[in-house]
Amino acid sequence: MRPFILLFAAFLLFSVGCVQHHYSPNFIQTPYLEKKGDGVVTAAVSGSPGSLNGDFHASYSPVKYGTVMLNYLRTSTSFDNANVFGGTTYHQTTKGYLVEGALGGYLPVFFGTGALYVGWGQGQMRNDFGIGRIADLRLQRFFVQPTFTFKNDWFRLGMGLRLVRLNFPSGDIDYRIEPSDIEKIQRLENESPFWFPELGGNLGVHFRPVTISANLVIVGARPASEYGFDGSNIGVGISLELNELFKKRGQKPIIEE
Amino acid sequence: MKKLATVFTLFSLFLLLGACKSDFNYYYYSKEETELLGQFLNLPELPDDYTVTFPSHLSNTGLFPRAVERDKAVLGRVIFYDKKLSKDGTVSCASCHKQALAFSDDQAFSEGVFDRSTSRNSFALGSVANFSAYYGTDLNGSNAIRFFWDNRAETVADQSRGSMTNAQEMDMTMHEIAATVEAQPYYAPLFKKAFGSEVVSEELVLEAVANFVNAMGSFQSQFDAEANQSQPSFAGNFGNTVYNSDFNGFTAAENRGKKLYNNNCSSCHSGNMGRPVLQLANNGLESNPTDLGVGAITGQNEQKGSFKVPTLRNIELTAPYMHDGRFANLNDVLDFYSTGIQNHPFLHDDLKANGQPKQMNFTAENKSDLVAFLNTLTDDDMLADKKFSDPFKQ
Repeated sequence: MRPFILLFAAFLLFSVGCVQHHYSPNFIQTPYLEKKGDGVVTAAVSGSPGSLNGDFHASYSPVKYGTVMLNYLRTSTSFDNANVFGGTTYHQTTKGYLVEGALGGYLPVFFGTGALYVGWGQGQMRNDFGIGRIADLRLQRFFVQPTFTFKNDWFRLGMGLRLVRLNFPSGDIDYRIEPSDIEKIQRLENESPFWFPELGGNLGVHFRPVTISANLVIVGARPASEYGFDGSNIGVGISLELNELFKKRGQKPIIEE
Repeated sequence: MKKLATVFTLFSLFLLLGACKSDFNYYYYSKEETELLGQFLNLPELPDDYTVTFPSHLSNTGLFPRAVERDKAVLGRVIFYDKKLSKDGTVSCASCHKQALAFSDDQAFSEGVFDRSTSRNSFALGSVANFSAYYGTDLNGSNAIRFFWDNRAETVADQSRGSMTNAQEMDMTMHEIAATVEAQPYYAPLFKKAFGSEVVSEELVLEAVANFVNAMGSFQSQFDAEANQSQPSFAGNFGNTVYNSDFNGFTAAENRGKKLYNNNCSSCHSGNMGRPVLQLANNGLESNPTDLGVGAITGQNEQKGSFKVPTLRNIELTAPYMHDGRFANLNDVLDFYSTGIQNHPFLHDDLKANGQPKQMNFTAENKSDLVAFLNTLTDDDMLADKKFSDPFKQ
């Protein structure tokens, strides 16, 4: 397990690159819910060539076959961008968030569980291109997400396809930003909303009630770089299955004689 | 289960019907800045784009322009046209580098402050972007393209400093330039945009001008349009290519002129009007030159009487010609190359035949064809482009 985590940590370090971005995908959440009262919370760190993200998630099944989901993504980048040929080097940063909720339903399918979620959320991406040149964009995301999960005592496997409608309803943009970046932003303005798929999954090792998982999400917008979208995100997460946790706590303590 | 599905569907529809029209607010100048600048300058609400993009026939050869920082170019434009930055307040960079003339002057010697006269012909700046990636010894060492007829300046900034401080041109010290800039209220917001601070320094003034001049590119000529659609027949050093086949859109005279140009001129001036192939050459103007040109700066004997080789873009508009403006028109230039090249110990090899000056012996038709071809190098769009024009309210 240790080499596995170290490998991912190293990948994250290398994958945090030096580009501004206007959209970074969170992981496709595939909560392992099977009955009323099941719940899970997850925290993950992820990276892409453009960002370092904190990804938080909670799901709960209040009724049989029904799920409520909450997602929160925090993304940030910080780097020095040196122009070729002796131009000025600017310290640039990106900070953003996305918060969203979803309703879903699940059913046993084959050897696992199939689920469908519909959600909506909004957020903000604030790119500072240096010397106070800021592009502050608001974004809204609607998604429909079919998933398939499989679990046993030791492993968790989840796959999902997220069909995204990403809209940039408003923004405040300092026009001092370099023309090539302004061009990207104008593309967002003119072509928004975007419809595209995102494909993702996770593979985890389960130690009751905790799961440590590797996560991947790939953005299907083509080409993502033209819009300042991160093309993918990869990271590690830790999940706590609440039903298992409470079940454990609810067990009668063993009384030593 | 049915209830759940209904809730699900309604929820989805509700989300889909949300507004989706984007409403982005782009800002550059604040209201106060707009009011202040509006008293002195005609600047667009949002700044012009000074990005230089090469035509494909140049970029395909590996040539590329130097990156231009737009906000610095916006500031540089104002400095370039500001007459307050000369000793008597009558001369700016633009006085000797006129946009309508591809940023050259139609006088052999331009008029500087206090009616003083410059000692050489104003060099056309209208195509600096063509070779901007090749100037500066830091980047290209001995292959660098330099500025002024005697190649004494390494960069646009050096060249600007030279003109601003030349007693015959603007006759200021750089300290005076910076102080004058600082005293004009319209510079504060422009400096803030360009450099993130209102603090003025000599270096920043020059950097801004350099960005403006680096953006000056002439790529919309008829020659460029044709070259973009043609395959070069020869590729040489520094992105130089030669097009021997006729261009479809050229007249017969223009194509004949192109052939003559390729055979007689392109080895120095380049076949694709990229960067000049040679940095300097002695072209035999005089056998015993009084103006020693590059040699006077370097002290090297073999460079005495040598001058910078200019690009021929917009050549139609940059008369009079040569470093001293001795030729009033292109016919005079061709007459010189036809029969007037003088012998000189360091006459460039390309202008020699059997150790003697090579007289090109152009016929009247040859000259007419060559002029027809050279006229295809004019970029009318650039000459009328507002972003290069005088921003001051008259």
